Amino acid sequence: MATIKKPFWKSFVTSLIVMISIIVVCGGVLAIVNDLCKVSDEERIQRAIDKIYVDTDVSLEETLDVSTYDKNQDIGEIKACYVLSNGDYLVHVTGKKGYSNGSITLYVSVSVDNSFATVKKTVLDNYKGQTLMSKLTDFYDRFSGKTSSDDLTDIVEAGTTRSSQAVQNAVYCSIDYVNTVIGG
Amino acid sequence: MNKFSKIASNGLIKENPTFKLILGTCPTLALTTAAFNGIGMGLAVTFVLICSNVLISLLKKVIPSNVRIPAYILIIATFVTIVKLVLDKFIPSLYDALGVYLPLIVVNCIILGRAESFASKNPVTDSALDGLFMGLGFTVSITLMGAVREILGAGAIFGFKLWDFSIDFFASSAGAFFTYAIFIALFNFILYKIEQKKKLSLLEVK
Amino acid sequence: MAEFKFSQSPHIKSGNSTRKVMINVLIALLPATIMGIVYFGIPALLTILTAVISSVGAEFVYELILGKKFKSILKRFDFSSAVTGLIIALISPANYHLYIPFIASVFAIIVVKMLFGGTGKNLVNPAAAGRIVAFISFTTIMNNFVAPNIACIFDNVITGATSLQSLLFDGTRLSTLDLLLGTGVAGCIGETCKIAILVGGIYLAIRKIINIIYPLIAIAIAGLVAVMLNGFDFGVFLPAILSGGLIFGAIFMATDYVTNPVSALGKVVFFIGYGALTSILRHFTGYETASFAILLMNLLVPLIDKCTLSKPFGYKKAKKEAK
Repeated sequence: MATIKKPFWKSFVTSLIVMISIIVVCGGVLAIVNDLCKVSDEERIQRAIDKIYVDTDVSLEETLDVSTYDKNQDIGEIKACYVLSNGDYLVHVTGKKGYSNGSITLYVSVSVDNSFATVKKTVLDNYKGQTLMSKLTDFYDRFSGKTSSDDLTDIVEAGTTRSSQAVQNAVYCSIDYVNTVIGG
Repeated sequence: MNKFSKIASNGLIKENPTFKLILGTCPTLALTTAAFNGIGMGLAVTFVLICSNVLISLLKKVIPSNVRIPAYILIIATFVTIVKLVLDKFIPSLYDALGVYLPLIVVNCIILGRAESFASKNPVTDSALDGLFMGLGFTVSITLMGAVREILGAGAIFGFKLWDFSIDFFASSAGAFFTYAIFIALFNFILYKIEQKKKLSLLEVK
Repeated sequence: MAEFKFSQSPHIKSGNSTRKVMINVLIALLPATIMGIVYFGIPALLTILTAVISSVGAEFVYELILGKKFKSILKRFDFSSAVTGLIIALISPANYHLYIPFIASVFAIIVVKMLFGGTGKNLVNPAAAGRIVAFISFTTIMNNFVAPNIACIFDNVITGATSLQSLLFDGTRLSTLDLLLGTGVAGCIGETCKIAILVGGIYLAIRKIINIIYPLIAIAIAGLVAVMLNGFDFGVFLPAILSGGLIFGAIFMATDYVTNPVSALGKVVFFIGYGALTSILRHFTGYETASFAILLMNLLVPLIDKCTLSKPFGYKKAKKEAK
């Protein structure tokens, strides 16, 4: 009996050691690479700006404090809001009530026309991961030009009822937030 | 030199991972909508393939046989994550284009398949070369497929619009399967004809 | 010793051959073809010619590439590709984009029929598959229909949604007579004049090529399901069955011998499924889904066969071994 058990223990221990060392080494390498390739928040914002304002040169002017805004908490959350050099507001917003209670994070650029907050363009924040929503293009364009008086509920993409709802919620929150900022 | 050409012709033609071994069909079907996507994915897979082949060949005596699959996956996943981090920082457009298929390279059967069947049994340089040529074979195959699907399905090539006429069928997933099938048939047919010719010429010499 | 003549079965021939059946189908399709040309004019004629020539040409080209002699292909020609081409034309809208029936026909004949083994070996109905490929490739063009009247032979004037689409989207309905005759009905070339289709169907039934019961089952079920889905509004029954490609599909496409189940029970299941699926898909997508329904049911035929096949003559189940 003892002779059968010994090989098992030996191979078990070797396997364990090998796996742990691989994990440690790989983890270490990944930590180093992650540090080297860190994309800072400013870079992300600049990328979103470049995606929205494709040809013109727009940059960040100031960052607003969004912690005081607590309306519409059940349908969306304003993560950040930036004022851009051309006067538009860039809202980094998460819309809730998505597929299986998930959420979708977008960058919405809102311009102010005659004291009405109007959506200029919407892009998806891709960093969280790729989904079906990142494959759509003209779906997001349908939100352009909407104000707080427009009904967003019929901007739906076929096959993405819930996720479209989350996007509508996000856009609604961003319009509402900018209205609060310029109104107050 | 002989072994080099054997490995090269294996990876590119005789055991072409896409059209002969039918490995890695998931990115083949999903990412061949445009030729540029094909090149991007192919190069990423080639890089991971070379690195993982080399490392696994180096460690082939160390990794016990009963934990080889988890060990290989760990190594492959590390390299894929490195590729992901580098792409995100330096080429974000390609990162967006590859989307969710970048992390899926980890389970791309080509990499695990070559690790299991070649790298774990062959010396380091051979494994590296095999990784290079398998990856190149994959890249060329999906770029060709991507070019055909892009020309027929979107009237463009490498994003450069050629004409207005497009058959949406080829841009859809149904068209992906269809194009893949036609390519596999054509590729194997051409190989078969070449083999026939070779046999005939050998017989004639005798 | 008496003289015996030896011959292989079949000993009694019915005089039916594939060629004869196909020619009869072509004759049955004539009324719908003529009415289609009358209503839609030159584009319809061109579409029909393109589709038929492309289908027949595709079959010939394929056989030639395979190395068969032209004369032998001609001798073996059984008009089935001509039927496929004509059906494809009749379920397409009338326009001058002639590459669409061309692509549909080539795909239907080469991929669905010839690659799988030729006549009698197709997996699904070739015309339905060809139309679907054209539909998903050129959605905007395929959804643009002309609403003609008898006088309009040279001009396509009004374009718009088919009566089916109007029915599904706003509930506007044309009168039943209009739907039957096809006057003022926008739709595919052969689908609008229902009387012509029914005449063809009756001809096929008289010639014992199809059993008229099955299409009637499909049409009735489709109507009933449409009624159910619209809140049991029985006024929807007639417009639902008289709109779109349901009747045409039921008589000419779903009855294709090759892609039907073998047993009678299987056929009943098949046609019920076809009718129900057409109405359900129409209701939820707003597109003309008769071809899709045919394709889906074709794919289910092996399963239906497995479940409904009758016991072979003289077959006894092996008795279980007594313990």
